[in-house]
Amino acid sequence: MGREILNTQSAINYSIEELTEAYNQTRQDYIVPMPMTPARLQAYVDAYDVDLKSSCVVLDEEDSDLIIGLGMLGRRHNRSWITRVGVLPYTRKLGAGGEIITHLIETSKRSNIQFTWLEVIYGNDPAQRLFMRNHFKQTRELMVLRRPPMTTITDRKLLAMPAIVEECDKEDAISEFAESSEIPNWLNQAETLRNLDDLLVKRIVFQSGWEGRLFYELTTLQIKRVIVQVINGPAEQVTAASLAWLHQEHLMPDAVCENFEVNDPRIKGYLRAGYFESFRRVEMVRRNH
Amino acid sequence: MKKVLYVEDNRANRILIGRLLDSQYDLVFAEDGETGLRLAEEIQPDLILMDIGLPDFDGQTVGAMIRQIPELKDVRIVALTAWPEAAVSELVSRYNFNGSISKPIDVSTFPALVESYLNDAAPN
Repeated sequence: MGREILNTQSAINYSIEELTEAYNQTRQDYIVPMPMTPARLQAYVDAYDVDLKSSCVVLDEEDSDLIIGLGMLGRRHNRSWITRVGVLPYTRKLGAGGEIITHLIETSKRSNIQFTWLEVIYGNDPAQRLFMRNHFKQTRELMVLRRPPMTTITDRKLLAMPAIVEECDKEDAISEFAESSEIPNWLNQAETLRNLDDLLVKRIVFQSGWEGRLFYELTTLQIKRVIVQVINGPAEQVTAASLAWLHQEHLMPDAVCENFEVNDPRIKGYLRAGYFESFRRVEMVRRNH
Repeated sequence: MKKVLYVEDNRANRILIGRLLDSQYDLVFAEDGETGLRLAEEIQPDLILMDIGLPDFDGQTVGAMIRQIPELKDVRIVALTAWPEAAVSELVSRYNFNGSISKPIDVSTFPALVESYLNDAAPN
């Protein structure tokens, strides 16, 4: 195209519907496009502390009604999170992606935010190179796990474990989770859990003395964000047994869990309970000061 | 005419598939997963072409829910996705789909592929 296109504006100036439409258009040719509805994007903004004022859109210089790219910024205390970055397919390689990343980094620096995080789909080398040019370093590989409805658990020992299951006080459970040694990805941090109105929390105590805590969201079609906090016992076994209980209670929904570190000992527990790896992401971080 | 339900949020893709299939089949479109689920139950299609990246629910979730409907437990469901082959094979196997067609589709082979799925003669 050969013309300047870098007119950057705050995303707060646009409605959720406009941002959703722009976002979906920028991702249409992605291998994993992940389109959204406006309601889903709003829920995303709320859950992950996305600050639309700090987030940005890039407009076409010749048509200021056309959003050619956007990026969003989550903010929590001394850290920020770059997410939902996309540029229209036919306007790539003209600097809009770099402009968005620069804008979000500079916004973080002006707010004295020390660390900026993000994830990129594993194998998206152009995106990863863009972030590395902006001094992001890889921290972990993260796994997205799925479990289809009616999946049979073949390990009979998991199904035969008697357990006492009780509701937990959500805020107490999240506070304890926040104080644990676990270092979850942005999606699964305590701040996210506090933002979820429909989060369910259960304590499971097995006869063996093993104990786990389950955090999850439940809808008619899906169980989402299933996090097992291991309180007592071996990580793999407590995880597998807790998930076996959960999925015997809720046979129908499809389950999806995102962004667990690939070396997390609980992963084997998820796999024993019928989950499988769907795809991976690479987590990256940048020190701003 | 056989009924084909195409669940796809991208308008350009719906137009393209419409041009390729509309003359041969009773083609019905759904723009999101929830509509796809409802229409599947209403029209009882012979084949469902399911985009995996939908704005409300993933295509695999929608396909799995369709399979829970007794009248549709054996309906042919084919995933349309640009995912790498290994990931697609896993999805097809785990979610009990009948197969997959890669995106971007090859317009010269797509109609024959669809026909082969309808005749239960698709290549593995």
